[in-house]
Amino acid sequence: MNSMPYWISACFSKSVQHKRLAFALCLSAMLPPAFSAESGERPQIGLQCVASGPGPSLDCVVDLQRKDGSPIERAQITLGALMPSMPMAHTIKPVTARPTNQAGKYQGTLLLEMPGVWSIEVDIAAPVREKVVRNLMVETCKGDARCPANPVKPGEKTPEHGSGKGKH
Amino acid sequence: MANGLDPHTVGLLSNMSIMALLALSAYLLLLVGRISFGQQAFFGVGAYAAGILSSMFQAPIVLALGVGMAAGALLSWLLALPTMALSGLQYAVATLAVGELARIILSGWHWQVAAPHGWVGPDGIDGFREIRWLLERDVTPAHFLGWIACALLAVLVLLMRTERTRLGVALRMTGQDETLAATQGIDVIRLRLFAAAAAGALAALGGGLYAHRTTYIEPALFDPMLGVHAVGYALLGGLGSALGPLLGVVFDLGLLDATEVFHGWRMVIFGGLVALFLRWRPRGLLDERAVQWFVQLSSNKRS
Amino acid sequence: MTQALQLLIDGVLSGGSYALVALGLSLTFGSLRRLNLAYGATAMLAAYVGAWLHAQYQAPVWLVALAVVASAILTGAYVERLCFASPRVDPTQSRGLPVAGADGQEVVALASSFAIWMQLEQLAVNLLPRHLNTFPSLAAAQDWQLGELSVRPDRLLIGLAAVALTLGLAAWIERSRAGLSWRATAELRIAAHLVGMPVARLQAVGFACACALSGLAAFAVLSLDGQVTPMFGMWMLLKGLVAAMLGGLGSIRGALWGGLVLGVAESFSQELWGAQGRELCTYGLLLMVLVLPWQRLRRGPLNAGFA
Repeated sequence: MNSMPYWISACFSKSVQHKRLAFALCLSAMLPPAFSAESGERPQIGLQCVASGPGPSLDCVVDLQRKDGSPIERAQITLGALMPSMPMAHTIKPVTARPTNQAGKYQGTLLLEMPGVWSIEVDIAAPVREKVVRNLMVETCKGDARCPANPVKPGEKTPEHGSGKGKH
Repeated sequence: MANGLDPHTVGLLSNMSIMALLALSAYLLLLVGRISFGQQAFFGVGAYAAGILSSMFQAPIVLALGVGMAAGALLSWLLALPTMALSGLQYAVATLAVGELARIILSGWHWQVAAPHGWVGPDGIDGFREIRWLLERDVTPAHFLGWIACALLAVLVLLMRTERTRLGVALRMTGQDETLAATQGIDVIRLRLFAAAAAGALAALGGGLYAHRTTYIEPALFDPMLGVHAVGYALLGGLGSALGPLLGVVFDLGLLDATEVFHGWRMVIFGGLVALFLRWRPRGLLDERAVQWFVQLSSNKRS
Repeated sequence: MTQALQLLIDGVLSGGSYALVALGLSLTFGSLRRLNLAYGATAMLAAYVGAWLHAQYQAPVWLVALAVVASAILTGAYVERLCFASPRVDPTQSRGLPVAGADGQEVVALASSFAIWMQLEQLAVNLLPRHLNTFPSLAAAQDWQLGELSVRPDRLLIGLAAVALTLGLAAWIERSRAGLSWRATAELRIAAHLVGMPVARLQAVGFACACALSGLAAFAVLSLDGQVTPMFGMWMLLKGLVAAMLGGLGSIRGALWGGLVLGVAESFSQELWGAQGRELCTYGLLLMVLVLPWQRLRRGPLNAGFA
């Protein structure tokens, strides 16, 4: 006995109809943005981060400029981080990047949980909507030193095991 | 209302909803009696497909997600065809291999098209950047959370509705005792293939939503730990109802990860709990008995 | 021609490491009929303990090796208690288990072992949070040259050790009384119990041996690398699984053959198609072993006993 036809007939029963109405409403809520045009031009975003202390904690400076080089002021920037190898394993609290005395530069400190390759997200809410993700290699710096976190290509992350290439 | 939620909460809720979709995908296969450690492959396929359609072909997001789901369902079904006849243990190992194969193939796939601001598209191991559909239409993360929640709600309602139908009962029967189910006239293999296709679609939906939320995906994200976590959420939360995997996700990402108390010991506690539950309460927190209890409680209240 | 020969030699030598890695996994399956997904994580935690001793106390190499093997045995005892200890549940009672299979318990053990995998990985990372941790290195300074071919002596040593261990273990299991009782508990647990064998103890000892072998394999592989990363657990599990399945899960000599085939296949596919081609080949082989109907050719991979 094939169970399929009964399920299909259940689809058309009354009890399911109001659920489908709710679903259609959800769908229609998505439509207006679907037809709005592309807004604004993209800003240039520079990201410089320095790791320090145990944790490590990452001090990042975001440099926001328009295409012509003029700095963008009064921007709402949120910095977030996630570890590419375990995307939902570490939830790092996003921090707001505060404006510094230099125009167009904003600073924020992320408290990371372990060294390694981190994907730093720069999420700009105003005046333009923009989001970039940069992969940085974050090392633990000894003592009071501050080590720059350099951009890394995702491919060159881990040495392969079993390759027998010793450290020497 | 959207202004009341800070970025951290919005991010957390979005992650929980997306992981819930992946956990539901693992749950569907557990329901029919198969453990799959490879659902992250269809998560990845859905992410890439939706990203490609929305950023390289300027498709509306609903179409992109829909095509992603179709791709996930098709791929899952195709891969299930030769493997569904294997024993539970062999099938689990096969899904592990499939998951890794998908990740490796995505790591080597390059397809980029020219866009106004440079090249856009999957770039092998460097991943897929610039999935900017939401940014271009000025959809805030809180707004997108609303969409993700709608999708999750629709999936939950669909699954809970299907429980009451003959199909839902047949699925559960196959998982509990396939020999008995076969004697009742249920085509076990075909039903399992259907469950695999549906699970692939769900995982792909989660992937598509994830790709748009983060605007950047790379193959390293889809490693076996993601699939293992999905199965863990389903097993811990409970196999009695579609709300079970959601419960597992809320427990892990909400309680264990968000609170400072368990900092650094999350997986130790989570893994230990799953193992303990498997010994003493194999169907999870929200197992069939618990669901029956709730149903009786609500019917007692009514009468 | 010499290039092909060189590739073959490299493949065979790396196959020795893979065989060592696969041995513990195959032994667990052979004695318990259970796949231990926490295998890689057990070895990784043990390796991390060794690396920690090396970093904190500058422990000599022999002490690190001993610590790695001992930690592997201890961790294995924990895993065995939690996941693989004989259940009090009637094995014919498949109702209530998340997955019913040929033997309903095998997939439950699989599921709980993956949970412990997550647990052990986090414990290891908590112990040594850095991404790259040094491990005492025993890598040879230079290769031996045989005409145009080069052979790595450290790899050769490991390969020979793998062969000796495998053949010795297989012979011991086949010929000795202890081996006989071990095989009896593996194949007919209830009958062995009825004739008075201490089944639980024998299985625990078997598991401990398998874990000791995994610690040994981890030490061997990592001493060549000189470092250990958090990815080691996954690597060890996946490579061990592929090699063990290629040779027949549960078969000890099969672990040797599987390791060799894997090593040679990887060597040639890396030359032909690069690092990603090599990984594709590895998992493609695994999928082929599972999906193609080997039962018609010989005793199937998952039905092999100790051989």
